[in-house]
Amino acid sequence: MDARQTDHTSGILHTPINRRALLRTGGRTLAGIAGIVAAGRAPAGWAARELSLLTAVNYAPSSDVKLDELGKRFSKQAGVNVRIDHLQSVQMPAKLSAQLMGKAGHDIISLEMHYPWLYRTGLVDVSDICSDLAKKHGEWYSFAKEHAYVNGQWLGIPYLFISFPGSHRIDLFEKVGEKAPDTWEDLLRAGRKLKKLGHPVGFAISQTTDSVTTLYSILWCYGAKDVAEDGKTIAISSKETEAAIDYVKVLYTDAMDPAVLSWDNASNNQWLNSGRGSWIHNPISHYVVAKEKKLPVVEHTGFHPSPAGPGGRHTVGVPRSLAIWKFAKNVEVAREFLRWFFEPAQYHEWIMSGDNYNHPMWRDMETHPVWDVDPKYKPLKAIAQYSHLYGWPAPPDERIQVITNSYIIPNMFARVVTNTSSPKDAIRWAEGEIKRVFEKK
Amino acid sequence: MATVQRRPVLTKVFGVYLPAVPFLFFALFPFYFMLVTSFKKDAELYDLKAVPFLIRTGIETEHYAKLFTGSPFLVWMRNSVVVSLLSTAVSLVLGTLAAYALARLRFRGADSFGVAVFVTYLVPPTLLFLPLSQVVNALGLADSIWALVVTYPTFLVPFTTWLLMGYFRTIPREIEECAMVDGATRWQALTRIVLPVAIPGIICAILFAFTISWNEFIYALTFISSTDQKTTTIGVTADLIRGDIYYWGSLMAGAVLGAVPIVLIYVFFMDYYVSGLTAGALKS
Repeated sequence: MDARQTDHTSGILHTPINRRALLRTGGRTLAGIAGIVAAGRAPAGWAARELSLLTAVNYAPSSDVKLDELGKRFSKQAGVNVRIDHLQSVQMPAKLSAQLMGKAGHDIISLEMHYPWLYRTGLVDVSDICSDLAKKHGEWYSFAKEHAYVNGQWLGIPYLFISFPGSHRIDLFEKVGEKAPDTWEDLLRAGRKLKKLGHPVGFAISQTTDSVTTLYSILWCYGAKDVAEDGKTIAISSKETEAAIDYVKVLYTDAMDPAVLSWDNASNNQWLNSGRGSWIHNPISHYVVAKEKKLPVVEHTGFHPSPAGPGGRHTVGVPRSLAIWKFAKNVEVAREFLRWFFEPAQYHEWIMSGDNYNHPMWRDMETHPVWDVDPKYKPLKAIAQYSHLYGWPAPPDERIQVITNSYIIPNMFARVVTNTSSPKDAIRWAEGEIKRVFEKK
Repeated sequence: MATVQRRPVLTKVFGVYLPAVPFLFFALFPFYFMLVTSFKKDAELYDLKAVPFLIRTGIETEHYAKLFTGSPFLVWMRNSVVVSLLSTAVSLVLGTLAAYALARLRFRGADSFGVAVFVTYLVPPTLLFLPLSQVVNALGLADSIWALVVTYPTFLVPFTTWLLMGYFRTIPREIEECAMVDGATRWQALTRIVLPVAIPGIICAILFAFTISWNEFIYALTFISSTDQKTTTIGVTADLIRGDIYYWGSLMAGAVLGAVPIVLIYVFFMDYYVSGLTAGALKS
């Protein structure tokens, strides 16, 4: 029986106040008032029009400063209060999951790699904005489209990608009579000499995203893959994977710093900037920091295309897009902001603010002035042409993100270089782990 | 005679101080390392040839200056203090009442309820933050420090209940029965007899609850987004790590200053803390 009673003369619904209802209402009211008093501001819902953005902290700090500045400008123009929050990229999944679960949070969020696939149930279709942008700029790079184009809908608007070129110490390579390595074999040859010189080469073989990126690059360059093009067949067990593992083992033994096994995402930056390392595979953040802190390695640091192998030249491109939650309080305002942000004036201003750490996502921007902000960035220009998402050549899939986050690929290599497993055993282990991820669906 | 005097000194040195050295080193090394790193120049921080445990090229206070001028560090500290104090206070009140009931009152299922309280404490926050985010949003408290004040007691109440339950059981039942024979009510027996005797246990619970709240990460990360609402644990890591760039100097400065309140309360309440922990160890 419904406890509510209607007063038929007035038509008002009366709810008898029982102990539970009183406690519930009282608790909410007290908590709400206390929250307002402590926060010193009204809840978001009370504001006339507020737009909230959550982005991963940008590796080029000036980009976040510029984004805040643009937010303020939009606030003035559109009469909307724009609030921009930033969070570590590794902390984003927990935050996004909580927001999706609670069906409340920011209006606009930034997503990377396969996140649009992972969070697809909560994302607004922004195909209209993307098709307008495509009319202006042409197509996105293929990996950018794969990242945000989910089951026939654009669920995010790609706005930047981060590249993984090779970074080397020009002076040290010259000292051992080598040029910037064009292939992984070149790196091995140069690395052997450089290690003897006391300046080994290095990339993380540990549970970090940098490690996943470099080791995927090597796998692909040796013709290997973890999942086949059909997106179903687990393809990690192959002669090509064995060849890639053999290569990494020799490189690790002959040319690398053994500390790579304990590296986090920051270690390679610090290592190169300290002067000890001679080569890393990483975005240009180390160089941005070295310039900012005026470190002596700045003038000796150079960049070159990610090395090639028998299977061609491949590396990972890390795209990010801006997306809108379906449960956002201001979906229309969010759309309005995104249209405004991607207008050439704003987008140009923002992309120029990051010292080319953030690369533009469209092919027609390969001539954009951002590529020329530093002559050393020249080799980065074409990097998108051979960049892929994790899991390539398999089609994008949220399960690939799970494989990434489980660090199966680095662990497979780590088992071999530490002599814990033979290459065949390590591959068998990885195959089992990947299968387990795929069977969970 | 001299031998007799020297013996206690030697006993102290070899029996007390020397065995304590490894423990002291283990406990204090992180603080020492944080302190040293926070005063190093960037060039020395990035020099792998430098000795990581010593400052060789002079002291630099810029990291502290950056922390105060380049980030709202004091706001984060204030938020941490408010959240930790309030959630500790709420949990202590609820935990004390629950612990007293479970330790003293005889009712059906008291023992299993006590075990259930403990099991609740064992559920990891990494599982609970998702359903709790729905609760926080339903209460309209998302993105404010009050989300933390409301959710921290979910793990603090079971903890304080369990801790105080053990302490209350060490207090002889007879002393409150005497008070009740003299006309005190159950409430008076609790507030006037049991609680004053249980002060060391209560302070121990306060210290633990405050420390747990102060260090909490996952709820603060998922329920708070605005910079001015962040606690120290989240604010420092969000603003001083930019992707794969770690501002080690300022990070360590934040860690050093973030540890100060905890160090202070332990210094002031150490005696209570120890006696609270060792309650019941000796038969009275």
